[in-house]
Amino acid sequence: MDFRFDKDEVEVIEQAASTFKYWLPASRFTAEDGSNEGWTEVMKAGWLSLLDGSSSEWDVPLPLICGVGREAGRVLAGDAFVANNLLAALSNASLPPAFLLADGRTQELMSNSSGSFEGCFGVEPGLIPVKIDRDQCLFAGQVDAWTLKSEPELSIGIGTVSVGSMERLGRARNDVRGMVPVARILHSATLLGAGQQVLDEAVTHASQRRQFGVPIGAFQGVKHPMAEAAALLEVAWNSVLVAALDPSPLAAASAALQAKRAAELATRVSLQVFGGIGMTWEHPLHLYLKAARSARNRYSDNTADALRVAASFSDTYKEASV
Amino acid sequence: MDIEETPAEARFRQEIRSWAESNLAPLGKQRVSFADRLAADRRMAEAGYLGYAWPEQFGGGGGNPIYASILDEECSAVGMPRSLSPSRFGVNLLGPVLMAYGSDELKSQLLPPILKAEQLWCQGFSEPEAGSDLANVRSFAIDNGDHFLLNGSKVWTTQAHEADWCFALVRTDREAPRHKGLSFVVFRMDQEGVTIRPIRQMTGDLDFSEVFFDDVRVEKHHVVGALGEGWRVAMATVGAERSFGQMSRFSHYVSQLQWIASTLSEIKNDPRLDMWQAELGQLVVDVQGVRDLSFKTTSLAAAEEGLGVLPSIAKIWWSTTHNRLLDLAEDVAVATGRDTSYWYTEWLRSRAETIFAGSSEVQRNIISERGLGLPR
Repeated sequence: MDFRFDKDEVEVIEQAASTFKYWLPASRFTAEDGSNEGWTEVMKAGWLSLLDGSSSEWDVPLPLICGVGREAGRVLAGDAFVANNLLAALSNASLPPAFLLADGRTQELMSNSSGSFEGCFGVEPGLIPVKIDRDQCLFAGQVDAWTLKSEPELSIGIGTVSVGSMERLGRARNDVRGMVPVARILHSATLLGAGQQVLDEAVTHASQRRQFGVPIGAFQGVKHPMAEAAALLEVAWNSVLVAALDPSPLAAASAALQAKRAAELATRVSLQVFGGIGMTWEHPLHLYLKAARSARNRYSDNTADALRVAASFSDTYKEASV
Repeated sequence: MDIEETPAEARFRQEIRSWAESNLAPLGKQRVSFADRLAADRRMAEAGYLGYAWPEQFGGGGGNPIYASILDEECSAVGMPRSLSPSRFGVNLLGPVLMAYGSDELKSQLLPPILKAEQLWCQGFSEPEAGSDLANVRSFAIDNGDHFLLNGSKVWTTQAHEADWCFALVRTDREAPRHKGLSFVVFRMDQEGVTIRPIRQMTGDLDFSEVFFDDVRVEKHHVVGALGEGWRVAMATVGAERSFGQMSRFSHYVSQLQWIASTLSEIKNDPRLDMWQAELGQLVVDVQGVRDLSFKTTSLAAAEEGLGVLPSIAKIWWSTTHNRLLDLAEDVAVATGRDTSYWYTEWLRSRAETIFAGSSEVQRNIISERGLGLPR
């Protein structure tokens, strides 16, 4: 047993982190110009084709992809990171950066709708829409031939997408349903990146911002909730890595339960630490808060996942006691 | 990265499992008494498993932390978790400290009887005025020529009655800054001047004692580390206290969750059933979190990397998770009338877990200051 990343893996993750940070800063969601070349550069660097579906074993180990995904989550690039890596594993054609036309609120990567698609995640300018139908055929739209209808407050690329004509690309290389646990585990990793990022920023703020003559981070009322968030992020991260070592639907549900809870706590705590500043449009914290909140029902909700885990645990025990 | 056992680790687990099944299981079947636990320690000592993780030069098995963790898990599976071993204070806490800070004379005098479970130890840290604020220790050892005379008291001392020896943090210099005037000393518990008064807890049990010292003799060569360096020495044991035994906790908690799952399966028509099932699911995942933290700490320890604040995260995690587990178990026990006395006692006992061995508040200070780097 060795539950650690080795030196090479740490280096890979650091490289990914600097690419994401440079090309896809979280501020892209609130920037005036909607241009978005970053995704193309990230794709060129290879970070969107880590899942190789052509062999039965992933060329890049899934825990390492989770490590990279966590860095994508730090700049709120998690949803498109997951979608593009899935597409790399599924598509025979090499696609430009894309988002997925599927209702991200269900455990389903496929959709038979046409024209309008509810509940899409990771929708950003510069990306093409891709649909996978129930016959596991892939279809691609054009980069500028779609519109997003969203709550204007949400501002992080979630909503209903309308598309015109789409080109058929052929059948998926791998069983799409079988990819759901991998998608869920990767998504969980990205959520933890988002949570870690805001907590890091909150730590910096709490160390600098002074009230009553001392940095506010010296107050236990401020530092203890941050410690709680740090602990939960650690536990959730371990859960993601364990799931990545054996990506079953149940392991994916466990990882999602922990990651969603940790990301939500980290963003809530950080918002409180930032005080009024965190409430502004200018500061990116609201983007993370919205991402963590809207991810709660991504693929499944926590109650359904918890009931699934409980049922499986009870079944195992019944079998064991017979 | 992997969590698979190597063939050698798997063989070791098999070896331990069959040994524990024939040697420890008979002792662990009933309500386990102190005598049973001591007998288990002695059998382990004879088989060479006590102090398995100690270096060979000190008579240990030289096993790395992964093997120690396997041993812990398998002993727990037969009802003899190492976290309840009477030798744990000597093996897990004092032993490593003596190896690092003790004189050769102290090592050769004190280490061998620990490995044979012949001498039992208790820990004298907490005092009435020194709980979370451990450096506020007031028990004072005054220089009396060729020895010290110790006066004061300790509290929450586990197995004070059974222990032959005590290792304690005491003040030896009242003028020095408070962290500098402390020394780490060892002394016999069966000498004149040591008075033990058990504390009855809310469960009715007598697990802890107050210990009073009236001119208790402490030999000069029984100071571990240098005089005035006690804080540094004591901190080495505190970190160790929080790192051990996660796998035995994991398997113990899983067996408690199994009782909950099996009892819930018999409940019909209770409006709380879905809520309880969902909480059971969350707890299953949270208990896996205890196991995963063990994967990480043992991997880091085996690679001789620092653990950082992981012991503090683990302490908060297992204690708060186990509190919630017993909240659910007690609810389910009351609703069904099954094993209520056992679960009520367990529930009461678990309330102490967020307090002893460094309260949750102390752990949060450690995580935020040493882990996150927030100002003190």
